[in-house]
Amino acid sequence: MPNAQDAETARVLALVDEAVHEAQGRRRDDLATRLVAERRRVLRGSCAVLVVGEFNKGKSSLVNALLNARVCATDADVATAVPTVVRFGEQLTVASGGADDAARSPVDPADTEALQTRDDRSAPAGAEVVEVAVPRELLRDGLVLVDTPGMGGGLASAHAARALRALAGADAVVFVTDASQELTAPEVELLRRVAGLCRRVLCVLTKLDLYPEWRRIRDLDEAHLRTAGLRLPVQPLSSALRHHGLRTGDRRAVTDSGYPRLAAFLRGTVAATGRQGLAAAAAAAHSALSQLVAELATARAALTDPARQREQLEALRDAQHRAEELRGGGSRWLQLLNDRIGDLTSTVDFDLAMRIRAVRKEAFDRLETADPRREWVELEPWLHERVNAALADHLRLLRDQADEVADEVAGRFGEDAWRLRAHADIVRVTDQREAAPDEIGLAALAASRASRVELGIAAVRGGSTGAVLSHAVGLLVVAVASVPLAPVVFPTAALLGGLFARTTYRAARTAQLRALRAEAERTISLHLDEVEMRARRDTRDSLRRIHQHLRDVFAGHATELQASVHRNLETLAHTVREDQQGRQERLQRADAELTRLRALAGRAEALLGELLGTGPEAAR
Amino acid sequence: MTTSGSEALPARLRALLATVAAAYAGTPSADVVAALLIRLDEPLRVAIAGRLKAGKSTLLNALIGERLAATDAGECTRVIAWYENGPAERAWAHPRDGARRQIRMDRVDERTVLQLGGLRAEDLDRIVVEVPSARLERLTLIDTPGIGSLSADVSARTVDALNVVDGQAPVADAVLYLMRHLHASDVGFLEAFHDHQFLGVTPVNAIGLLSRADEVGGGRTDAVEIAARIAANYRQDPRVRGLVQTVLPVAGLLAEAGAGLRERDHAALRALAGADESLLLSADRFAGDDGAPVDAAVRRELLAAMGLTGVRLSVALIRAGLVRDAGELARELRRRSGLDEVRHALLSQFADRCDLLKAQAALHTVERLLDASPVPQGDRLRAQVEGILAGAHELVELRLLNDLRTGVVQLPDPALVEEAEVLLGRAGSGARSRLGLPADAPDDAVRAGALATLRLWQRRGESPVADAAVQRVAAVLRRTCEGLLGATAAPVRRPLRTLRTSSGA
Repeated sequence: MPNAQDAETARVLALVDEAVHEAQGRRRDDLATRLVAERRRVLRGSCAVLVVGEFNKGKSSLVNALLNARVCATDADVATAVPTVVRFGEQLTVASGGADDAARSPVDPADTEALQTRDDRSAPAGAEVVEVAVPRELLRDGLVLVDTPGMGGGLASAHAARALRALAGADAVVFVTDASQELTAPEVELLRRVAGLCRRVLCVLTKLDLYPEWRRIRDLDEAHLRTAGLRLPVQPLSSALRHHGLRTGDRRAVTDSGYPRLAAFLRGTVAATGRQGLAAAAAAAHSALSQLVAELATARAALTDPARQREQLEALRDAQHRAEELRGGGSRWLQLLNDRIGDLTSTVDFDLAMRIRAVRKEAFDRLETADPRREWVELEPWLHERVNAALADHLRLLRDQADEVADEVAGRFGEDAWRLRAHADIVRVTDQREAAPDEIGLAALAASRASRVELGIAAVRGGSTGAVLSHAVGLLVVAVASVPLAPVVFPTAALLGGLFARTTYRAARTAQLRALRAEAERTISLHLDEVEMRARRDTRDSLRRIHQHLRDVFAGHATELQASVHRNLETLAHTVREDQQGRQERLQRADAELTRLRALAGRAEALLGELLGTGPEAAR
Repeated sequence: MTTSGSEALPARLRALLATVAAAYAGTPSADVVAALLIRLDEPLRVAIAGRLKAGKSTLLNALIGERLAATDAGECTRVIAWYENGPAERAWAHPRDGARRQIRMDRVDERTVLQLGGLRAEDLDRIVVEVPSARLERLTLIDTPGIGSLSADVSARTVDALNVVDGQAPVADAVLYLMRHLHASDVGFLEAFHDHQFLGVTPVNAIGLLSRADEVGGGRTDAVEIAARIAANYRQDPRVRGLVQTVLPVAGLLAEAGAGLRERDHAALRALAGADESLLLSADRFAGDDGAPVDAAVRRELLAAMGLTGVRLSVALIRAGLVRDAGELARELRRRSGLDEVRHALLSQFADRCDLLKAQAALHTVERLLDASPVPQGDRLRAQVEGILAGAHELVELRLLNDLRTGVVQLPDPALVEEAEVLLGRAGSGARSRLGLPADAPDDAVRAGALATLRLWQRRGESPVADAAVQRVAAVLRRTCEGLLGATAAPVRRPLRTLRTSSGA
């Protein structure tokens, strides 16, 4: 698998390089610049895998054993308190700091553990993220592992909100549980949300070395997951066996440790996300080459048939007009984008308000009916659980709807661009016989999809909104580190013991109890207000970024198209002025160049078809 | 019982209960009152609570020293089981309605198997297992079914059998909460110390146990030491202080293994100590069939009895030359299990205070009963209850201790709280442990200590900066100190006073 992947990468890179060369040869620096950026993205491609699970299940040990390096602090007593981002580096370096990439500063590797395990209750805002770069082959292709603080109690944990947010942008999730006992209900519930937000999930069962009954636990866990409607395999792991195997060369121990399977899963994830990046790069190359072909074809048509020059000029002027429209503020896609984002803003606002309102009502009902002695202790975890579940569902709605908007806008842009190309491509307009489908490419695909593919935005879904929500690891970490919702502290919890120690619930069902209940209601209300405010701010911020990102992407494409049309016009005008002698010479040259470019575009198309045909994500 | 009025409390309580019994004679609540009187003469009831797989049954077996409790998930672990001292080994099933019925109790492979016969687990109120055991003379142990996890079965939580129903006596006098290693920010963390089943429980009669201590940190050989450190951290947590009086680490499996260790187990472990290190790498390898010095069946037996962590620890002890025979290994395993500390806490803090805890429980039950089923003499009886609650200094102490732990009474300085709690008898109700003196301190030292402490609290109480809380604590503690002085033979005090008056004259 990795070899095939490498070969594919090499082919795409070679193609992109050739396309850059052609673009530069034809002085289309705008195309060349975009291709170079695309090339860089392929090389630097990153694939974020989140390691999540409850406290003390061996998440940090898993990362260490996988990489055979002590990059995460593991101690029986202190827990990981700060997310650790582990990526490739030629040598070991450690940085810490804010969620923002730029805000991190290098630290002495010796201090790493102290940073990772700081007690989040005692320490003020210190490092939000620890970033470790290690020279490990597994990470070379862009795999980034994120070790997260444990979520005790699953969704009911106050930490869960930020972890769930990070999940929305992760390429895969490794969910960690251990062989000491079967999955608990909160764990299953957490897994269900994880699987809803992230498509690739692996559930691992750690510490198989310690518990003779691990097979039974694994079977029970798989049964629990099936009951919850999750078809996830459970992979048993042992870091002790892995370390022993690597130290002594005991290959059976390495196999028994289960780690080779985990590594295979991670490689598969890298390959799948890499494929998406490759498809985008191949599509960009194809798009650029098509534009170059069109330009040459225009020139050639002008050379062969100068009589139709007027007609051609008119067509191109029309195209230029359309290109300006496409780029301008009045363009249909931009209107659609603005409208849809506006709609989406109110949809998500409403969604959030309804969800919080439902939680509030449920909480008040609970307060009203619950016996304070029995049930108030559980109100806080219960409230966190409800809030986190609501926020996770809200986030999913936001992501799905944003994906739809991106799709729609791409479709609209594609239609207009398609029409524009039809006009600009005067060869096609003026001479149907020469309208070779390979210049437009991928004729087999539906028109809107073909146009999108041609524009190099094949992976617009998940590619753009996902990227904005957190695909890039820098953003991912923003998500991990934000949303530290204030814990709810019921002022009454400590008093209840004293209040009811000497009296009965019935006797206390008086003014005192009413006052306590009112106090608890107020606390819950304040907390939910805070939650709603922060979540709304976060959501709006995400929407704003999605909006801006989509606008930039399509405006970029429009600019490129406009440049193409402009060049075609120039070429046409230039060609017309040349004499017969030069014309003949140029015609020959153009023919040769056109043949070469068409062949290249054909290769790009074939490669793209290959990538899209087999890459399930990109083809959507 | 060293403080003043200690003789009076049981007598006054019995007199009160007799009056209450008369008031309720012929009513449906008569049985409840009768049960309260009987209860005063019974051993202390200690319930073991905790989530599923927290190691409850293992601890129970270790405490009794026999494999009495079923440790796997059979029918019986779904029923509350009482373990009592009795004339013979026998078991009874108590259906919810109907008379108790004796059920079959067999020993199979050193394990106890109870046959419910035609009875269904859900129809049973409890199972009572009687064994002749010195360890159960002062304590009755109650094993509760594990409760599933949070939010999964809030509604399914119908395990009310141990609950305080208004007007009835709480079933358990004290509770041991078992919890596995959790982070202090975990949702389940406090939950572990706080069980719906035990509403009559206050921090004074509850202890938290960090169970399965041998598995902490992936089963390292120093797991138990790390567990001790974690337990110490838990003890510092103010939220935990309000729920239990202390948190102790315990490795039930090690204790059980120590108790049942035979010479041939030791021999097998010694042989394994010479084997390759990689044999101990995983449970699979250890139980596997390839060329280890000891027969695979024996290895599997060891694994079941002490877990891989127990085997690792034993082998490490043997290799280091710390133990030479089966007896020493058994002692060492037991010492490291932390069971002795748990037993000590049980005996010094629960059993010693047994009468007091039962008296307190009985009084509160009467209060509840008076609320739940009013009788004409109710007000007079209530006044009598109040009188005892306010008058018996031990109960006042207990209440203050409780209020200090839960934060109802707040002192300005944590050191002051610590001092006050110890003096109130948190670590033991004897004069020496209250004064923080060694167990063999002479009477003179006790008197001197009590006198110094009395003056100290007098000063604190009368200080112009003392707030209401300090004044209340100081008032109670002054009486405590006076009681301590009074309990130690008085003759020294009078000459002192005579001396002073004579010198003043």
